[in-house]
Amino acid sequence: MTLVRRKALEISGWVTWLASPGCKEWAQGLEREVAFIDSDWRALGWALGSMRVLLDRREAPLRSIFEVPAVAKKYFEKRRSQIALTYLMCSIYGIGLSLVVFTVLSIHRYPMDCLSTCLIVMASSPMFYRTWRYGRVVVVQPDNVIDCAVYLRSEMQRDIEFNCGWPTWASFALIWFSFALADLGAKGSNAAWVHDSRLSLPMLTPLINIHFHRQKLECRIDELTTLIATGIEGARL
Amino acid sequence: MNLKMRRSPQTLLVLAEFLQAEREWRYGYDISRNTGLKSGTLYPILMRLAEHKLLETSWETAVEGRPPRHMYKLTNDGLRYARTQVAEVRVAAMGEPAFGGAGGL
Repeated sequence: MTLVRRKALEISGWVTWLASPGCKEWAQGLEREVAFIDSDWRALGWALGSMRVLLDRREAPLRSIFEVPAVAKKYFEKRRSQIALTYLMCSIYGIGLSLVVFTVLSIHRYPMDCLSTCLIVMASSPMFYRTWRYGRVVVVQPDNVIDCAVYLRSEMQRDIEFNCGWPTWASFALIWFSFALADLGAKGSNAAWVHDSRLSLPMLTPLINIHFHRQKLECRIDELTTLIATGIEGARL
Repeated sequence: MNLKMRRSPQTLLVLAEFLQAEREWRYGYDISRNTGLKSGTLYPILMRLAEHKLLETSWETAVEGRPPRHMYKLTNDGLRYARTQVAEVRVAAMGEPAFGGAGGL
Protein backbone atom coordinates (compact mmCIF):
# COMPACT_ATOMS: atom_id res chain seq x y z
CA MET A 1 0.00 0.00 0.00
CA THR A 2 1.41 3.38 -0.98
CA LEU A 3 1.94 6.22 1.47
CA VAL A 4 -0.75 8.34 -0.23
CA ARG A 5 -3.34 5.57 0.06
CA ARG A 6 -2.36 4.95 3.68
CA LYS A 7 -2.83 8.65 4.45
CA ALA A 8 -6.21 8.62 2.67
CA LEU A 9 -7.34 5.70 4.83
CA GLU A 10 -6.02 7.38 7.97
CA ILE A 11 -7.87 10.62 7.19
CA SER A 12 -11.15 8.80 6.51
CA GLY A 13 -10.68 6.82 9.72
CA TRP A 14 -10.25 10.04 11.66
CA VAL A 15 -13.31 11.57 9.99
CA THR A 16 -15.42 8.56 11.02
CA TRP A 17 -14.10 8.78 14.55
CA LEU A 18 -14.74 12.52 14.85
CA ALA A 19 -18.10 12.61 13.03
CA SER A 20 -21.14 13.48 15.14
CA PRO A 21 -23.48 10.55 16.01
CA GLY A 22 -25.99 11.57 13.33
CA CYS A 23 -23.30 11.60 10.61
CA LYS A 24 -21.37 8.51 11.68
CA GLU A 25 -23.07 6.25 9.14
CA TRP A 26 -22.31 8.70 6.32
CA ALA A 27 -18.71 9.04 7.40
CA GLN A 28 -18.38 5.26 7.45
CA GLY A 29 -19.88 5.11 3.97
CA LEU A 30 -17.30 7.63 2.77
CA GLU A 31 -14.51 5.69 4.45
CA ARG A 32 -15.50 2.40 2.81
CA GLU A 33 -15.46 3.95 -0.65
CA VAL A 34 -11.74 4.73 -0.35
CA ALA A 35 -10.95 1.05 -0.87
CA PHE A 36 -12.79 1.08 -4.20
CA ILE A 37 -11.03 4.09 -5.73
CA ASP A 38 -8.30 3.00 -8.15
CA SER A 39 -6.09 6.08 -8.12
CA ASP A 40 -4.23 6.79 -4.87
CA TRP A 41 -4.37 10.54 -5.34
CA ARG A 42 -8.07 10.42 -6.10
CA ALA A 43 -8.53 8.38 -2.92
CA LEU A 44 -6.68 11.10 -0.99
CA GLY A 45 -8.87 13.78 -2.58
CA TRP A 46 -11.96 11.75 -1.63
CA ALA A 47 -10.75 11.41 1.97
CA LEU A 48 -9.98 15.12 2.23
CA GLY A 49 -13.41 15.96 0.81
CA SER A 50 -15.01 13.68 3.38
CA MET A 51 -13.86 16.10 6.09
CA ARG A 52 -16.84 18.25 5.07
CA VAL A 53 -19.00 15.81 7.07
CA LEU A 54 -17.33 17.12 10.24
CA LEU A 55 -19.01 20.49 9.73
CA ASP A 56 -22.39 18.83 10.08
CA ARG A 57 -23.07 18.26 13.76
CA ARG A 58 -26.20 16.26 14.47
CA GLU A 59 -27.51 13.85 17.05
CA ALA A 60 -28.16 10.16 16.32
CA PRO A 61 -31.44 9.92 14.38
CA LEU A 62 -34.69 9.14 16.19
CA ARG A 63 -36.13 5.89 14.85
CA SER A 64 -39.36 5.73 16.85
CA ILE A 65 -41.58 8.03 18.90
CA PHE A 66 -40.96 5.80 21.93
CA GLU A 67 -37.35 6.99 22.01
CA VAL A 68 -38.57 10.56 22.59
CA PRO A 69 -38.88 10.50 26.44
CA ALA A 70 -35.25 9.33 26.80
CA VAL A 71 -34.07 11.98 24.33
CA ALA A 72 -36.14 14.62 26.13
CA LYS A 73 -34.65 13.61 29.49
CA LYS A 74 -31.13 13.88 28.09
CA TYR A 75 -31.88 17.21 26.40
CA PHE A 76 -33.34 18.81 29.56
CA GLU A 77 -30.47 17.51 31.71
CA LYS A 78 -27.97 18.99 29.27
CA ARG A 79 -29.89 22.23 29.17
CA ARG A 80 -29.93 22.52 32.95
CA SER A 81 -26.16 22.05 33.11
CA GLN A 82 -25.70 24.52 30.24
CA ILE A 83 -27.77 27.10 32.09
CA ALA A 84 -25.61 26.62 35.19
CA LEU A 85 -22.49 27.07 33.04
CA THR A 86 -24.01 30.14 31.38
CA TYR A 87 -24.68 31.66 34.81
CA LEU A 88 -21.06 31.03 35.76
CA MET A 89 -19.76 32.54 32.51
CA CYS A 90 -22.07 35.54 32.89
CA SER A 91 -20.78 36.09 36.43
CA ILE A 92 -17.13 36.00 35.29
CA TYR A 93 -17.94 38.26 32.35
CA GLY A 94 -19.91 40.61 34.63
CA ILE A 95 -17.04 40.89 37.11
CA GLY A 96 -14.55 41.52 34.29
CA LEU A 97 -16.84 44.10 32.78
CA SER A 98 -17.27 45.87 36.12
CA LEU A 99 -13.48 46.09 36.46
CA VAL A 100 -13.18 47.58 32.97
CA VAL A 101 -15.99 50.06 33.67
CA PHE A 102 -14.32 51.07 36.93
CA THR A 103 -10.90 51.49 35.27
CA VAL A 104 -12.25 53.46 32.33
CA LEU A 105 -14.66 55.72 34.16
CA SER A 106 -12.64 56.45 37.28
CA ILE A 107 -9.03 56.45 36.09
CA HIS A 108 -8.59 57.14 32.35
CA ARG A 109 -11.79 58.93 31.26
CA TYR A 110 -11.07 58.96 27.54
CA PRO A 111 -14.31 59.83 25.66
CA MET A 112 -13.95 56.93 23.20
CA ASP A 113 -13.32 54.53 26.08
CA CYS A 114 -16.36 55.77 27.96
CA LEU A 115 -18.55 55.44 24.86
CA SER A 116 -17.39 51.94 24.04
CA THR A 117 -17.73 50.81 27.67
CA CYS A 118 -21.27 52.16 27.81
CA LEU A 119 -22.08 50.31 24.58
CA ILE A 120 -20.66 47.06 25.96
CA VAL A 121 -22.75 47.44 29.12
CA MET A 122 -25.83 48.28 27.01
CA ALA A 123 -25.33 45.22 24.81
CA SER A 124 -24.54 42.89 27.70
CA SER A 125 -27.42 43.86 29.99
CA PRO A 126 -30.23 42.41 27.81
CA MET A 127 -28.15 39.24 27.43
CA PHE A 128 -27.90 38.88 31.21
CA TYR A 129 -31.61 39.57 31.58
CA ARG A 130 -32.61 37.07 28.89
CA THR A 131 -30.31 34.40 30.31
CA TRP A 132 -31.87 34.86 33.71
CA ARG A 133 -35.41 34.61 32.26
CA TYR A 134 -34.54 31.58 30.11
CA GLY A 135 -33.07 29.75 33.10
CA ARG A 136 -36.06 30.41 35.32
CA VAL A 137 -38.46 28.16 33.40
CA VAL A 138 -39.33 24.95 35.25
CA VAL A 139 -39.24 21.95 32.93
CA VAL A 140 -42.13 19.50 33.32
CA GLN A 141 -42.03 16.47 31.08
CA PRO A 142 -45.45 15.03 30.08
CA ASP A 143 -46.07 11.27 30.41
CA ASN A 144 -47.72 10.65 27.04
CA VAL A 145 -45.12 10.12 24.27
CA ILE A 146 -46.86 12.34 21.71
CA ASP A 147 -47.35 15.14 24.26
CA CYS A 148 -43.74 14.69 25.28
CA ALA A 149 -42.61 15.00 21.63
CA VAL A 150 -44.77 18.11 21.11
CA TYR A 151 -43.40 19.65 24.31
CA LEU A 152 -39.81 18.78 23.43
CA ARG A 153 -40.24 20.31 19.97
CA SER A 154 -41.69 23.53 21.40
CA GLU A 155 -38.84 23.75 23.93
CA MET A 156 -36.29 23.22 21.17
CA GLN A 157 -37.93 25.96 19.11
CA ARG A 158 -37.73 28.23 22.16
CA ASP A 159 -34.09 27.24 22.56
CA ILE A 160 -33.39 28.32 18.94
CA GLU A 161 -35.29 31.58 19.44
CA PHE A 162 -33.35 32.30 22.60
CA ASN A 163 -29.86 31.20 21.65
CA CYS A 164 -29.84 31.78 17.90
CA GLY A 165 -32.40 34.57 17.41
CA TRP A 166 -31.70 38.11 16.24
CA PRO A 167 -31.39 39.63 19.77
CA THR A 168 -28.42 37.35 20.43
CA TRP A 169 -26.75 38.26 17.14
CA ALA A 170 -27.53 41.96 17.69
CA SER A 171 -25.96 41.84 21.17
CA PHE A 172 -22.86 40.10 19.84
CA ALA A 173 -22.55 42.56 16.95
CA LEU A 174 -22.88 45.52 19.33
CA ILE A 175 -20.31 44.10 21.76
CA TRP A 176 -17.92 43.44 18.86
CA PHE A 177 -18.41 47.00 17.58
CA SER A 178 -17.81 48.34 21.09
CA PHE A 179 -14.56 46.38 21.36
CA ALA A 180 -13.48 47.89 18.05
CA LEU A 181 -14.29 51.36 19.39
CA ALA A 182 -12.42 50.58 22.60
CA ASP A 183 -9.45 49.54 20.51
CA LEU A 184 -9.53 52.89 18.70
CA GLY A 185 -9.72 54.64 22.08
CA ALA A 186 -6.79 52.64 23.37
CA LYS A 187 -4.50 54.22 20.78
CA GLY A 188 -4.47 57.42 22.84
CA SER A 189 -4.68 55.71 26.19
CA ASN A 190 -1.89 54.46 28.40
CA ALA A 191 -3.98 51.50 29.46
CA ALA A 192 -3.83 49.67 26.14
CA TRP A 193 -4.02 46.23 27.77
CA VAL A 194 -7.60 46.98 28.88
CA HIS A 195 -8.65 47.46 25.27
CA ASP A 196 -6.60 44.85 23.51
CA SER A 197 -8.83 43.75 20.62
CA ARG A 198 -7.54 40.20 20.98
CA LEU A 199 -9.73 40.05 24.09
CA SER A 200 -12.73 39.97 21.76
CA LEU A 201 -11.47 36.88 19.90
CA PRO A 202 -12.88 34.38 22.43
CA MET A 203 -16.28 35.75 21.43
CA LEU A 204 -15.97 33.81 18.19
CA THR A 205 -16.31 30.57 20.14
CA PRO A 206 -19.95 31.12 21.19
CA LEU A 207 -20.77 32.23 17.64
CA ILE A 208 -19.45 28.97 16.17
CA ASN A 209 -21.19 27.09 18.94
CA ILE A 210 -24.48 28.86 18.18
CA HIS A 211 -24.23 27.78 14.54
CA PHE A 212 -23.74 24.09 15.39
CA HIS A 213 -26.35 24.24 18.17
CA ARG A 214 -28.95 25.58 15.74
CA GLN A 215 -28.07 22.96 13.13
CA LYS A 216 -28.52 20.12 15.63
CA LEU A 217 -31.82 21.46 16.96
CA GLU A 218 -33.28 22.05 13.51
CA CYS A 219 -32.55 18.47 12.48
CA ARG A 220 -34.15 17.18 15.67
CA ILE A 221 -37.22 19.42 15.22
CA ASP A 222 -37.73 18.05 11.68
CA GLU A 223 -37.49 14.48 13.00
CA LEU A 224 -39.92 15.22 15.83
CA THR A 225 -42.39 16.81 13.41
CA THR A 226 -42.36 13.65 11.27
CA LEU A 227 -42.67 11.37 14.32
CA ILE A 228 -45.53 13.44 15.79
CA ALA A 229 -47.42 13.30 12.48
CA THR A 230 -46.89 9.53 12.24
CA GLY A 231 -47.81 9.06 15.93
CA ILE A 232 -51.04 11.06 15.63
CA GLU A 233 -52.00 9.16 12.48
CA GLY A 234 -51.26 5.83 14.23
CA ALA A 235 -53.34 6.84 17.25
CA ARG A 236 -56.30 7.68 14.98
CA LEU A 237 -56.18 4.25 13.31
CA MET B 1 -43.14 16.17 -0.37
CA ASN B 2 -41.00 18.65 1.43
CA LEU B 3 -40.57 21.92 -0.44
CA LYS B 4 -37.80 23.19 1.85
CA MET B 5 -35.24 21.29 -0.23
CA ARG B 6 -32.91 23.70 -1.99
CA ARG B 7 -32.60 23.10 -5.73
CA SER B 8 -28.99 23.70 -6.62
CA PRO B 9 -27.41 22.68 -9.96
CA GLN B 10 -25.40 20.04 -8.07
CA THR B 11 -28.55 18.57 -6.50
CA LEU B 12 -30.11 18.38 -9.94
CA LEU B 13 -27.04 16.59 -11.26
CA VAL B 14 -27.34 14.02 -8.48
CA LEU B 15 -31.09 13.58 -9.04
CA ALA B 16 -30.56 13.17 -12.78
CA GLU B 17 -27.87 10.58 -12.07
CA PHE B 18 -30.26 8.59 -9.89
CA LEU B 19 -32.86 8.72 -12.65
CA GLN B 20 -30.42 6.94 -14.98
CA ALA B 21 -31.10 3.72 -13.08
CA GLU B 22 -34.17 4.47 -10.98
CA ARG B 23 -34.57 1.24 -9.05
CA GLU B 24 -30.94 0.33 -8.57
CA TRP B 25 -28.81 0.83 -5.49
CA ARG B 26 -25.90 3.19 -6.21
CA TYR B 27 -22.49 3.66 -4.60
CA GLY B 28 -21.18 7.07 -3.53
CA TYR B 29 -18.00 6.91 -5.60
CA ASP B 30 -19.87 5.87 -8.76
CA ILE B 31 -22.23 8.83 -8.40
CA SER B 32 -19.27 11.11 -7.78
CA ARG B 33 -17.45 9.83 -10.87
CA ASN B 34 -20.50 10.14 -13.12
CA THR B 35 -21.51 13.60 -11.93
CA GLY B 36 -18.00 14.97 -11.45
CA LEU B 37 -18.88 16.09 -7.91
CA LYS B 38 -16.30 15.81 -5.14
CA SER B 39 -17.14 13.87 -1.98
CA GLY B 40 -17.39 17.09 0.02
CA THR B 41 -20.15 18.34 -2.30
CA LEU B 42 -21.90 15.05 -2.99
CA TYR B 43 -22.39 13.75 0.55
CA PRO B 44 -24.10 16.84 2.01
CA ILE B 45 -26.56 16.57 -0.90
CA LEU B 46 -27.17 12.87 -0.21
CA MET B 47 -27.58 13.62 3.48
CA ARG B 48 -30.10 16.35 2.75
CA LEU B 49 -32.06 14.08 0.42
CA ALA B 50 -32.12 11.35 3.08
CA GLU B 51 -33.19 13.87 5.72
CA HIS B 52 -36.21 14.76 3.58
CA LYS B 53 -37.00 11.06 3.11
CA LEU B 54 -36.25 11.29 -0.60
CA LEU B 55 -33.33 8.88 -0.41
CA GLU B 56 -32.93 5.55 1.32
CA THR B 57 -29.64 4.11 2.40
CA SER B 58 -28.50 0.58 3.01
CA TRP B 59 -25.33 -1.38 3.71
CA GLU B 60 -24.23 -3.93 1.17
CA THR B 61 -24.16 -7.51 2.45
CA ALA B 62 -20.59 -8.35 3.37
CA VAL B 63 -18.60 -10.34 0.84
CA GLU B 64 -15.46 -12.11 2.01
CA GLY B 65 -12.34 -9.99 1.65
CA ARG B 66 -14.30 -6.87 0.77
CA PRO B 67 -15.75 -4.31 3.20
CA PRO B 68 -19.51 -3.68 2.84
CA ARG B 69 -20.33 -0.47 1.01
CA HIS B 70 -22.98 2.13 1.72
CA MET B 71 -25.62 2.24 -1.01
CA TYR B 72 -28.23 4.78 -1.99
CA LYS B 73 -31.53 4.68 -3.83
CA LEU B 74 -34.33 7.22 -4.30
CA THR B 75 -37.57 6.48 -2.44
CA ASN B 76 -40.90 6.68 -4.28
CA ASP B 77 -41.27 10.27 -3.08
CA GLY B 78 -37.69 10.89 -4.15
CA LEU B 79 -38.34 9.51 -7.62
CA ARG B 80 -41.40 11.73 -8.03
CA TYR B 81 -39.42 14.72 -6.76
CA ALA B 82 -36.46 13.98 -9.03
CA ARG B 83 -38.65 13.56 -12.11
CA THR B 84 -40.45 16.85 -11.41
CA GLN B 85 -37.27 18.79 -10.73
CA VAL B 86 -35.36 17.43 -13.71
CA ALA B 87 -38.37 17.95 -16.02
CA GLU B 88 -38.81 21.54 -14.79
CA VAL B 89 -35.21 22.35 -15.55
CA ARG B 90 -35.45 20.74 -19.01
CA VAL B 91 -38.58 22.75 -19.82
CA ALA B 92 -36.93 25.94 -18.58
CA ALA B 93 -33.84 25.21 -20.65
CA MET B 94 -35.95 24.59 -23.76
CA GLY B 95 -37.80 27.89 -23.20
CA GLU B 96 -34.58 29.85 -23.09
CA PRO B 97 -33.54 31.16 -26.49
CA ALA B 98 -30.16 30.08 -27.76
CA PHE B 99 -27.34 32.71 -27.57
CA GLY B 100 -29.24 34.77 -24.99
CA GLY B 101 -32.08 35.69 -27.41
CA ALA B 102 -33.12 39.09 -28.68
CA GLY B 103 -33.80 40.47 -25.18
CA GLY B 104 -30.26 41.62 -24.78
CA LEU B 105 -30.12 43.41 -28.08
